Order: sequence, then structure tokens, then C-alpha cells
Amino acid sequence: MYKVLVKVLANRLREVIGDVVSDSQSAFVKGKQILDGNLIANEVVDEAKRMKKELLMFKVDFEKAYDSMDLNYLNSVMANMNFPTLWRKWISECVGTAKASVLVNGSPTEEFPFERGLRQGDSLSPFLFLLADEGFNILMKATVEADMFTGYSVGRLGEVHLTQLQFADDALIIGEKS
Amino acid sequence: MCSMLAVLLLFEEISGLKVNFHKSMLTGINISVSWLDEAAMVMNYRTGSIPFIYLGLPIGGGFQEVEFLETGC
Repeated sequence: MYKVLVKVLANRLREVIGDVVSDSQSAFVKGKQILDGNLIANEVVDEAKRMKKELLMFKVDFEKAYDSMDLNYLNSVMANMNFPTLWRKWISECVGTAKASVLVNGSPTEEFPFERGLRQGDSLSPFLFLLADEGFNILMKATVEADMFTGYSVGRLGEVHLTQLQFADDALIIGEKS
Repeated sequence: MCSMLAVLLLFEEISGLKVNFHKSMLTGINISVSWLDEAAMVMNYRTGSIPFIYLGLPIGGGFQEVEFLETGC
């Protein structure tokens, strides 16, 4: 029963996910492929070499990405993206129903709900992870706007600024020396 | 540079996603090695070199070289 519900929610979320996450994300978004990130990164490196521009690349690895996702944070991200309250209730019902109990000296403790962690293998989890990842995007955008970090500008005119590429929990931050 | 570290730490604080600094890597093009080393030391990162592997494929380096294509697979 749970699986059917989650599938329905996931299919609905799939339709809108492309509109709420930014272009730097290339995982699980319709019309995007894993190779897009590699291609862009390769082209940027090539261009920087040819034009003798300074380029700084930083590969970020998030540890235990799914398991350490804060569920309250996820909820507030969805609220800021203007997902309706009813929808958020459904989602928190789905991710928050799991309970755990720990064996201490052989006797189980009282059951407690999880505060962190998405379910591995759940068809809704990838999309929820993308939503939470968008928070990172927004933080990066804010730093760029505050002039604390400069993205790499592509081409002679420098109209396109590139700050990061993401594939779910694999991020590549691209910028200039600052 | 320091602002990048601030962003990562802030994100860790709000979302619970922790950055694995041992697996993260800092690299640059047309940037002196000494500057990179210094930055990496301040922020406790590893430094890497071009070409490096991102999402399982090598980034940077000449595509003409057979050797390069072989290392990528």
C-alpha cells in the first residue's frame, strides 16, 4: 500500500522537479543526462587552458548523503518553494512514519521516530534529495551575489557564469581564484 | 575561497549533509601549485591534479591521447 502511494507522489513530483531545481543539477531531471555535467566540465577545463584563464575546481563529496538528510530542513525547503501544505503533509507522512528502537543491554528501548534520513530504494527519495540539494544551490547563489565568490565566466564576453555542477550528492564547484 | 568553506559548513549545519573532506579535492588551472597547497592546507582538503575523475569519467587532458582514454575506462 505504501509503495503505491509513494509511486503516485513520485510521479507527480517528477513533472515539476525540473522547474524548481536549478540548471546545474543533472540528476533525475527530465531531459538531462549524467554526461551533461562531464561535458560541461571538460569544455570549461579546455577553454581555461586555451585562453589561459584562472580556474579553480573543487570536487565535493557529501558523506552518507541519504542517511543524514534533516527532515525538518526538507520540509522548510518545500515550504519556501511554495509547495502547498497538504502536499507537505503527505510527504512528511511518507518519510516520517518509520520508527526505530535500539537494543540496550539486550532490552529494546521505546520506539522513536527518525529525524534524519531518507529511505534507500524508495522511489520518492531521489526527488526529495534534489529538493534539499537545491538549498546548497541557493547558498552558493547568495555568496556569488554578495561578491564573496566569483564563478567562472565562459567565453570572451563572459556572459555565462558557472559556479557549480551537481549530480545528486556529487558536486563540482567551479570558480575563479579569490 | 574561505567563503566556499563557509558555504559548505553552513549547509552542513542546516541540512545535516556533511562534507567528506578526505574525499573532496581541490584543483586548479593556471593557478600556482603553492597557492593551491596553501589553500588546501588552510581548509584541510586534498589537492588533486588535472585530469581527475568526476562521475566516473576523466575531466581535462587531451582526448587525442590513447593513454588518456585508456585510464578513463
